[in-house]
Amino acid sequence: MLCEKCNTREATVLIREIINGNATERHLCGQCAQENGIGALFDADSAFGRLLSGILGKSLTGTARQEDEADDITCPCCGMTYGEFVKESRFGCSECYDTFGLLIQDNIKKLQGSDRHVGKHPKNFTPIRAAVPHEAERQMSAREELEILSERQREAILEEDYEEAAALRDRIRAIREKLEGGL
Amino acid sequence: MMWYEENNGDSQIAVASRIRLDRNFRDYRFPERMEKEERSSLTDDLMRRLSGTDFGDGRSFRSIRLDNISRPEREALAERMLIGKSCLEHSEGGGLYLSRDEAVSITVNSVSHIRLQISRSGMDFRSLWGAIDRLDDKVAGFYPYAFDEKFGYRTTYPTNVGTGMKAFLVLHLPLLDSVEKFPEIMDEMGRYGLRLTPAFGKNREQCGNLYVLMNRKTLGVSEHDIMDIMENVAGQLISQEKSMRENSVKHHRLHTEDLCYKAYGTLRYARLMPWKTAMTLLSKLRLGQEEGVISFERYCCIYELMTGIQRYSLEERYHKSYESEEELDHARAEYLKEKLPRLKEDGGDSEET
Ligand SMILES: [Zn+2]
Ligand SMILES: [Zn+2]
Repeated sequence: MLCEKCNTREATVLIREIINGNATERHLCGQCAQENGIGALFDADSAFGRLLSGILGKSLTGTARQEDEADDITCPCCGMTYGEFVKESRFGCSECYDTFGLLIQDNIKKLQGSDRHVGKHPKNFTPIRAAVPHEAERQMSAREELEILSERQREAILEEDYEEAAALRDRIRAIREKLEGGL
Repeated sequence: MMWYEENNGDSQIAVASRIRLDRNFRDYRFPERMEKEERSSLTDDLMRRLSGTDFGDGRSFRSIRLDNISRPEREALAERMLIGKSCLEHSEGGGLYLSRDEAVSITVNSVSHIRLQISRSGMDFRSLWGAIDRLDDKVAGFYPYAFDEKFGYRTTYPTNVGTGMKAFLVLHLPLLDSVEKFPEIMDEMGRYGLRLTPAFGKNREQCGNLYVLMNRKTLGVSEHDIMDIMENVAGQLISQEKSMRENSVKHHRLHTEDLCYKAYGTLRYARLMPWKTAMTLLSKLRLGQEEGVISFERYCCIYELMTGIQRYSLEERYHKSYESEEELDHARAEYLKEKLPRLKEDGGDSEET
């Protein structure tokens, strides 16, 4: 089979991409693949990334309107919008996880088969609940409140009530900051 | 001595193992979202901290700024799996802290703030984990990691969130590869949360029967879960390959010898050596070496040759850039002639007994 691009050399590279859930295949020769910078697609990260973008792009977006509005949710730390996040399939900073975490946890579960980390914690990592004993109760209830608010935020997003979701996000962030500041 | 030359790893179906950890710091934007200057100064800072750290393994390291070296030099590093392909395009402000034996490579500010990687010959994930775990603890002391209890290590890509760990195992599977059902076996790996793909990023016809087994899942599985499943599945692949080999060498010894000697002759005397041909022949040679059908006068690491015949590794070695395929194929043939030791005349079996 000849290369689809130059039609002269033998095609030696098969490029498989999934864009918006559609699989495409291209047969190229090594030289054309390289010239087009397609070599980068062999990187597991970006290939998987595109796959994820296929998953993310399809889900959570029952209607075009919903998609547009969720697109505007922005990470306060690095300025990444949800739209950019879906397109690039990558986080811009640690806080993006707080901002987009609820929107995408179902998709991460789909991708990873789980939504909860087990395994190593960083050396010297102090989990929030490991506070001094009599503080623990207050901390736990704050954590519970966090969970309840998070659940409400999730519902608000699914109900397309983005104002409510934004307000809840701010409350969640305030509680998080208080918890972390208190350590 | 380079890492792949340790303990004559060429006698095994499991060629090499590798563990990689992706880590970001909490208080910095991820590399892609950083301003150029910020990125560059964080790289300087991290490289300084790395060279000031005693990892306690007696290795010596060198620091490389990825934007200070040429594109072909970066390509050669990527061919040896020392940096990711993404470092080729986005090298600006990135760094590499590389041990002399190339077993430890730490990429700074490419995909993640820190990407730790350790390789060794054969399959030994436990000792790799012990080493990388210690390294990780040292780096965790630089700045707080981006981490939470739900998502684990907050990686740049959702595809390695959680442990941030990818384990890789290079396997030489010439006989399994010849089975009609092999593509199904490859697909089957998905059921275990693993992937089996041709090594060196080439397709099945061009990979010299070298395959990489790796974990896909990183969330909800611990580091030890990942190693357990990798070892388990690899063990099954290896024992399948082994029994097919025993059968083939036992019943078709002369035929196997013939294939190995012909492969050697071509590799040693050809003037033009295309990649695909070279990989196919080297695979036969390696099979003969693993099964004791042939043996060399001195130690020869076929995996090193398979790595070395890639375009940019050849360009780096001979300080040339090859414009035409013919020049490249010629350089490859020269390289093989130079590197391949003589065979012991009467094969390996007489030496064994
Ligand atoms: Zn072409
Ligand atoms: Zn962000």
